[in-house]
Amino acid sequence: MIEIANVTMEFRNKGVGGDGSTLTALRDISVTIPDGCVYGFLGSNGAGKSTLMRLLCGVYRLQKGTIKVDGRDVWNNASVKSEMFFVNDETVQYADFTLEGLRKYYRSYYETFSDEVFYRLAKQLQLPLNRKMSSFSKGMKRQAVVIVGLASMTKYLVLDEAFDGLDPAMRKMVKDIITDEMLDRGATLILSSHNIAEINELCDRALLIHKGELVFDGEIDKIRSCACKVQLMRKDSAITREELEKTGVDILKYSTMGSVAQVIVRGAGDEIMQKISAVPNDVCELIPLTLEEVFIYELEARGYGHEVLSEN
Amino acid sequence: MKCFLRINRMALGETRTHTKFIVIVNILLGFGCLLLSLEKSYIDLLHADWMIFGYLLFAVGGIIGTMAVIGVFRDLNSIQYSDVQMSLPMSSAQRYFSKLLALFYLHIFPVLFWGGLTVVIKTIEKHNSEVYRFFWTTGDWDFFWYESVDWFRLYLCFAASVLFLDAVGVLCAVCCGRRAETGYFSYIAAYCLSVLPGLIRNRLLQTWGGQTMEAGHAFFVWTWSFWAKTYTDFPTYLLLINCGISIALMVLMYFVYRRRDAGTAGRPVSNRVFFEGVMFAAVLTMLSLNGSRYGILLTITGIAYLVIHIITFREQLSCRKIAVWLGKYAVTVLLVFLLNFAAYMTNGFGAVYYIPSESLDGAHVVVTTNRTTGSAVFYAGSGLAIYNERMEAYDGYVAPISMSDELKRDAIRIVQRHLAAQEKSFTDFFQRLGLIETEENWRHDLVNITVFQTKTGPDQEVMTQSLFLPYHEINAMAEELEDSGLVRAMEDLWYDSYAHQFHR
Repeated sequence: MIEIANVTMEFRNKGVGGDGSTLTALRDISVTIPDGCVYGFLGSNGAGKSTLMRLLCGVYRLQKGTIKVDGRDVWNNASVKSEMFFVNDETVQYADFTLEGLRKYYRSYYETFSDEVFYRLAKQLQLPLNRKMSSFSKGMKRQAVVIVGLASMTKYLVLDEAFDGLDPAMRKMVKDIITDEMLDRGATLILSSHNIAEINELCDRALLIHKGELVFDGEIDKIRSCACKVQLMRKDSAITREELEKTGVDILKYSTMGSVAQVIVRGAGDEIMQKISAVPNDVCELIPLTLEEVFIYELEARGYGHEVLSEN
Repeated sequence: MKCFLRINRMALGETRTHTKFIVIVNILLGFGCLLLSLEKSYIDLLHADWMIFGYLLFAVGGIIGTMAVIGVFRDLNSIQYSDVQMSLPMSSAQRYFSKLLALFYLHIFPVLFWGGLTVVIKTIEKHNSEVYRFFWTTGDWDFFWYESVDWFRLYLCFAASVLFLDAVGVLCAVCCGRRAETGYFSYIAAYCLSVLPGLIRNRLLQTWGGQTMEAGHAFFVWTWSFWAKTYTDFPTYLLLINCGISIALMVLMYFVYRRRDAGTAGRPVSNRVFFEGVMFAAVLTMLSLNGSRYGILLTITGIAYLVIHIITFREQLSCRKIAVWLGKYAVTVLLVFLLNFAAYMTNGFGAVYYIPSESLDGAHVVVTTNRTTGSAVFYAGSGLAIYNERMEAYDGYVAPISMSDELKRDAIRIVQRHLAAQEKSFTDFFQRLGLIETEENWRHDLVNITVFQTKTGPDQEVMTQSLFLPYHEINAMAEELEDSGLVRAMEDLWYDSYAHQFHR
């Protein structure tokens, strides 16, 4: 189990070549990632997902807060790191490797590395073993690194934008391989993606970070049910936002079209319906949100990409 | 042992990722070994002059070690490599020492191997030569051993040089966050560290101490590895200490490395103290190169200082930034001047009291002047004398009458005191610094004193120290020496027989 408690991370752009500014990448993040789950990191660009992953894997030194992996600190701890494999969002660093070379490289670090898994998966994905990875397509490089990550047989596999560059068919195949390999041995998969549908499909838990702050975290089903869309109609006049707010509901978004008012409200469906029923209306309909809609409305409520999202 | 095996496994894993470098460095050193080994022995084409190419290939093979350092420490230069390497199951100590070991496999070992092979081949070849066979049969083991040791010293020079360069490379890699900065700062720092001790000795101690000192080996113990071979009296044990210091520096840099994480990767220089230190050392080096052309040196150094800042900071240029950097340069130059001024006021930080720098035994001081009106002091191992220009015809040394060490010291103390008592002024300082140099203010009244050392140089030449004193100070010194009874008046000298000049 990974316990992240009150983690704050600041990048100080000081020293030679720095402009002296400070960027708060993460602010007071607290999350628990249980064993054996598939955990998705959601967030806008620059939200802090990769920073949190790097802290999880001991790439960055922790400044404030604690991160415990099975009760142990990660930073500078070889035994904890031997249970983690991190695949970052770039592949340029592997350009000079062949896939076989990559196997040898990681094999010298991970004692649990399985040649059997490696060769089986390489064969399954039909990747050439002795060709330089610089000649691989982006998708092939991704597959190669994921294979090595799976063959390292670690308890935690951390994938940052791991499915970028994969075509839909290959995306599905890699996802199947990952879930088969990881879930068979009860390992924990942590992945970040901008593709919310992917997170929705793969993960059983997720978190959303925006500008370094945690918006929500928990089980996907609960996240989906933490907000809902309500359509209200009143024949004589449209229901106003003020009327709704008087009932005590937390409105994320309000819009009208003629006499129909559409509101995105934070909270459980039953509770919302109970409160809204106090407002005189002719029709009141509750529509569950998808994860993608929750993501968009939560960010929109925080002013992220307001214009673009409104247009869409 | 288990820990070493683990680190070794990691180091081999790292080494395997640098196959191109391994091939290149071994080709360079292999051909260097070939040229040095076959020189004038088996192939007529390989004339002795070709040997220089052997040394050259070895030098290039050594210098490119910086590339190996940059490659091995690439986790500090790029966030992508940091992601890979810092997430691997290693503590920072394991990661650092596995990198040092990888550096050994990549660069240090090939230099030691090919250098060692060259030494073995040369030794065997020499021992098979007619000259060696002659000494072998006559049992002159000293000669036989001397040549072998000489090649061993060369081998140690290879080792000391490669370790020095790689240690400086590691220092820069750990303090920089980009490849380019690690590269050029390594060469700047290696150059400054190599020449700066000598320049400090020449400029701060020798010039302001008013003398030339004997090369103090301990002073150059670390950085003189490149030139050690040219000094046959550079002790072998100092080369070993030299290697030891380089290894110690590499090990100590762990304490800086362990403080770094991926957050500083990609920053040109992660350690401000390091940056300012190197820049100060570079300015000090440049301004100590040649005292007689200070204006040109100041300009060239200033331009280089500005260019390095522009490259390193990678910022959008503005007049304000350039003004700030020029201001920093002015402060640095001022510090260099203050350092020189402190040395001037303290007579080379007390270096004046190290005359003669070697043992008094057999030392003699000769004071001469090329001015027709000048008088001079002659201090021999057993006495002191004053003579004037008319005595230029005088050649050789007068057979000294024994003079006690105590009297020698008394005489030397008087010389030291007069050297230290020279009048100080800004004009004199700037003139001697090289900032003022005109016919009008050139010091015509300086008199050269030469201290002959007992010790001889590499080619058995007499080692000397040159001191300078104003004419009036020389006269005062001569009078004091005469008053103290340590020397006799020059008229007496001129008419006395040589055998009795240096009585007492």
